[in-house]
Amino acid sequence: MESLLEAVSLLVGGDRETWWTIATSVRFSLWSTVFAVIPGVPLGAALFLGRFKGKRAAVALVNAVMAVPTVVVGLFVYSFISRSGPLGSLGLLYAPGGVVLGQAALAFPLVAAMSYTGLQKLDPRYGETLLTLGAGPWRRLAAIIREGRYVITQATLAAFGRVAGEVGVSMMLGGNIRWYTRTMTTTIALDASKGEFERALSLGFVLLALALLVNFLSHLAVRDGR
Amino acid sequence: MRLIAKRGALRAAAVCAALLAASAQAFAMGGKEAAPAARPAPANPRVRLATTTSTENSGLLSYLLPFFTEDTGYTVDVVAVGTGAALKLGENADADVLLVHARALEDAFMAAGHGAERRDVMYNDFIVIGPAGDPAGLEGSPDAKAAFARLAASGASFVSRGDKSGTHVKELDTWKAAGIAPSGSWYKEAGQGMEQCIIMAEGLQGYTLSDRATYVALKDKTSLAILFDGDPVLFNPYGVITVAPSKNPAINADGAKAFLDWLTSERGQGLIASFKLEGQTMFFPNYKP
Amino acid sequence: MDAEAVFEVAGLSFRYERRVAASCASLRVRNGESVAFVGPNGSGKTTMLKLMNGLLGPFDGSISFMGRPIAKNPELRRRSVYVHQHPVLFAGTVRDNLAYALRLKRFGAAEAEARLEDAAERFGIACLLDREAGRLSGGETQRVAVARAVAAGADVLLLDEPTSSMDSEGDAAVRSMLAGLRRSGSTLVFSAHDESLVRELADRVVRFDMGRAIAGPGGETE
Repeated sequence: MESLLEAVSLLVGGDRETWWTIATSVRFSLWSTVFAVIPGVPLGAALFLGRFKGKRAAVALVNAVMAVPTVVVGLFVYSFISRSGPLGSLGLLYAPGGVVLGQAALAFPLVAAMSYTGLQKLDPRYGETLLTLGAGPWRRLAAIIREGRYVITQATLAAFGRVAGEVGVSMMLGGNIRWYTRTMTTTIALDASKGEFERALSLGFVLLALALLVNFLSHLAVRDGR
Repeated sequence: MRLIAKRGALRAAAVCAALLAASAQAFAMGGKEAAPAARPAPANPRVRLATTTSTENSGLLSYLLPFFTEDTGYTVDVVAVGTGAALKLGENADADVLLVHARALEDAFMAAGHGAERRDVMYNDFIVIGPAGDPAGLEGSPDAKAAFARLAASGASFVSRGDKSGTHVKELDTWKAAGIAPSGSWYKEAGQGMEQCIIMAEGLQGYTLSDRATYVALKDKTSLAILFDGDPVLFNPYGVITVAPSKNPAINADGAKAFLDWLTSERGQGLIASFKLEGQTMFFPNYKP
Repeated sequence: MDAEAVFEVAGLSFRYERRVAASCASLRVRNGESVAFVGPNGSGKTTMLKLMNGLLGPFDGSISFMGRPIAKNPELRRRSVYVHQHPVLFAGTVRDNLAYALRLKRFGAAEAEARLEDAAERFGIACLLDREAGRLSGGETQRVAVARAVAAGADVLLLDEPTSSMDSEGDAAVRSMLAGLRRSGSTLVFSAHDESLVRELADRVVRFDMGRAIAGPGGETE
C-alpha cells in the first residue's frame, strides 16, 4: 500500500525521470510503429491482392514470424547493428535508433498479418471493380489501403500497443541507458530486479492506461468502420 | 457498403493526431531538460561503458559519472550486463571501455588482442549470505573452501548466478578449490542478476554468494545475513579496459582513454573511496601506477 | 479461329476449393453479339463471367480475347468491363466515379470531360452527376456503373444479373440502356433469371447447370 501511494506521488508530483521515461517510451513506440506500418501495410495489402503460387506459404511465414519471441528478434537485429555487423557503421546499437529498428522489426509482421486478415473482411467486389476498370497494381494497392483504413488503424494501434509493452528488444538493443534509451518497460525490469517497486508500479499504471487507450481507440475504429 | 467516408472515423483520427502531437511535445520538453550540461565538448562526447550490474546497481556509477562528465565533458552511456556479456560486447566492439571483475577472463581478453590497456581500479569483496539461523553452520569456517564444503554437506539450498558473471566465476573457482562439483536439487542455477538471486535465496531460505555492495544496497529488503566473509580469495578486483581502437573505427578511443585515466587518477580513486552505503565503504581503490 | 470472335473459350475448367466451380468445353462470342447465361443459382454463371474478365484464376484450358489469351492481354482491360450484380461505386459523387475510371484509362483532361458529358447525356444520368454515389437507387447504381465502363471506352460488357432487385422504373431504364448499347454495336454477355430480359436482349442463350455450360442454340457449346 505504501509503495502504491509512493507510485502515485511520483506521477502526480511530476518526478522528472519518471516523466522523461514515459515520454521516451512513447516517442520510441511512435517511431517504431511508423517504421512497422510503412512496410507492413503494403505487404499485408499485397498479400491480400496478390494471386501467386506460394501465397499460402507466404501468409503462414508472416504469421509464424509474428510468434517469434522478442529476445530472438533482438538477437537477430543485434547481429546486424553490432559495430562488427553489416550495419555497424550506422551506430544504432545502444542508441534510440536501435530500439526503434528492433521494435519495428518486431511489429512489422504483426501489422502485415493484421492488415491481410482485416482486408479479407472487406467487400471483395471493391478490388474486382478496380481491376476490371483497369487500375494497375500500385493504384489498386493505394485504393485498397484507403478503403481498408479502419483495418489499418487497428493494425497500427495493435503495433503501438505491442512495442510500448515489450521489454526484450528495448533491453537488448537500447541497453537501458539512463537519460538515453531507458524506457518504461526496461525501467520496470531494472527496478523490479532491485526490489524497488514504487517507480515500477507507477510506470505500470501508465502502461495500463496506455493499453486501455489503445483498446478504446481500436474499438472506435471498428465501430466507425461498420 | 463501406465506401462512403464516415464522420466518426475522422473524429477518431483527429483524436489520434492530437495525442501524437501531445506526446511529441511532452518528449521535446523531456529531451530539453535531460540534455547534459554544456561543456567544451570533445569531438565525440558519448563513451559507451559496458560494466557489471554490481557497479551500476550499487549506485557507484550514478555517484561517479556526474563528476567525470564535469571534469572531462564526456557523457557515459552505461550498459549494465554480466562480466561475460560485457567482455563479449568489447570483443564485438560494441563498447568503448569496460569495467569488469573476472581477472582470468580479463587476461584472456587482453591476450586475444581485444583490449588496448587494462588497469586495476578497485576491489570489493564477496560474502556468503543465508538465513540468519545459519542451518548449514557456516559461521566460524576457517576459510572459503571450508565454508563451501559445509554448505554442500548440509543440503541447504544454494542459489548460483549461473550466468558467467564475475560472481559466478568466483563461486565456481571456490567450489573447485573445495574439491566439490556442485549438483543436485539443492543447487539452483538462476541465470539471473545478483538482486534476483538474493531475492530467490530469500524465498528459498537458502544461501548465495554475493558481492558486498549489492547485498548492502538490498539490505532493507532481505532478512538474509552475512554468514561468511574475510577470506582474501573472496576479494573481488575490478579492472578497467579500453577496447582496442583498431577493432572498429566507431570506437570512441579518446573517450575510453579519458575514462580509464580519470578512474585511476587521484581524483577518481579518491571519489571511489568516498562512496559509501549505510556508512560503509563499498569499493577500495587499488590502482598502482 | 474466327476473325469476328471477341471471346473464345476452350476446354475450360476452374476449381475452387477442390470443386469444379465452372467448366465449359467451348464457347465463342462474336463481335456485336448479345449472349445470355441462364441457369439456377450456383450453376457457375457468375464464375464464368469473372473468369472471362480475368478476375479469377488460375484455370485449366484457355480463354482468348480478340485472338490472344486473356492473361496479360492489354486489350481485355481496355475494352471489356465486368459489372457486378450489385455494382460498386466509389466514395464521392457520380461525376467522381466516371472521372476516376477515365483517369485510370489515361484520357487527357479535355477528352475525359467530353467523354464524361457524352456518357451522361447518352445514358440519361446527367441529372445524377453531382449526387453522392452511395445514395443512389439500385437502378441508378446499375446505370452509373455501366456508364462508367462505357465512358472509359469499354465496348464488351460482362453483366451479372443487370436488372435484379430493382423497382420497375429502374428495371425499365436499365433495359432500355442495354438495348441501346446492343443497337450501337457493343458486345454484351450477361447472366439473367428474368426470361423477358433474355428474350428481349439476347441473340443466343447458354444454359448452365452444376457448374457446366451445357447448351446453346448457337451450337458452339457442346
